[in-house]
Amino acid sequence: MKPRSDPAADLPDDVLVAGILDGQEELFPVLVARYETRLFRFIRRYTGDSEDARDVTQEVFLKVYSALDDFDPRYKFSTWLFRIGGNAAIDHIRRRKARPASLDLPLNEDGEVPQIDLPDTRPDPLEDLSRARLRQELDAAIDRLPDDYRELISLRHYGELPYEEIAELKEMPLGTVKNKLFRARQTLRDLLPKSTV
Amino acid sequence: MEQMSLSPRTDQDMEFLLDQLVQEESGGLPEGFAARVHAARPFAPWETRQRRHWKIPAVVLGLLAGSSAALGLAPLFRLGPGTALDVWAHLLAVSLVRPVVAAADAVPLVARGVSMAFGTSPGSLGILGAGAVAALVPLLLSLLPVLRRRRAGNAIGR
Repeated sequence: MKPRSDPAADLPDDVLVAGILDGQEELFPVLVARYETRLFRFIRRYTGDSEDARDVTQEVFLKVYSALDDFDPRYKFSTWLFRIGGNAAIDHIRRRKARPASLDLPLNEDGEVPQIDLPDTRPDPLEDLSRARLRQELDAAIDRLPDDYRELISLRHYGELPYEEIAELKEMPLGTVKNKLFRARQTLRDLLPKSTV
Repeated sequence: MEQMSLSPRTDQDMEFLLDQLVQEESGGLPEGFAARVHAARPFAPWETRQRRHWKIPAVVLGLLAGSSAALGLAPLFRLGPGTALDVWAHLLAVSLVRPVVAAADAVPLVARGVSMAFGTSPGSLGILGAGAVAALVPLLLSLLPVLRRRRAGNAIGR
């Protein structure tokens, strides 16, 4: 997604924000492209639905643009973005009356379960099957985690935030974040069926 | 991509497995999402601080003030320049402080003025029309960017 030919793609977040506020609005898509996938995955973890996650992701970026002058450059842009993203996702779930994440595939236009053509890069179909099942079981296990563990797992693995940024976002000491994430992953492993682990 | 065991034994294994499974998830954002978000961005309050956003409103205000002076002062000048300017300034002050009341009061007066102008000299109606168009065109032009962004925002939501 990141075009290597664009020199702006290598600029730090705070420089991009300052540029946009200074009237270089063409830098905004660079900022969006940098975080769109990570924010989308993070939000999808909450909504459990790709379509909803797309809408909420867009809504978050538009909110961020409107409030860009509220961004405090003493902090990381990513922590600000993910805080807004987390709040927007929670608001969305509240609006939808906490619709649970479905593990079933949505039906296609003919009312049938769609066939997904995943690129066959692995030689062993049995392993593919195991991974698909593991992904489902992992999703279900994350849903059963306590709220604070689930949020940390989402920020770390779906939002791909470094520990330091999670500590800043959650206003926790770095050691606490590392410790909690360790315990969250341990709990997650315990929640997975024994046949998986 | 490096493959790993499906049986995570250590925290590092678990961390790696989670990262891998997230990366492999299907479905995502459509191509060109960033550009579409950019097109749909609202007019942010902080944008008003940029000088270029004041160009069109400044032109609009200038034209409105100019047309107001031309329309207001022309008939009043018979009272003398001092009185004409005084009356025009008072009218302007009332219309700025109480715009809704001033606009409501102005409707019958404008209608009466137009019919009088048409009665005495049909040509002056053309001048009045041209003045109105000159005031409206920049107003509409200043609204275009806002309308364009809003339409793009609706399109992306679909």
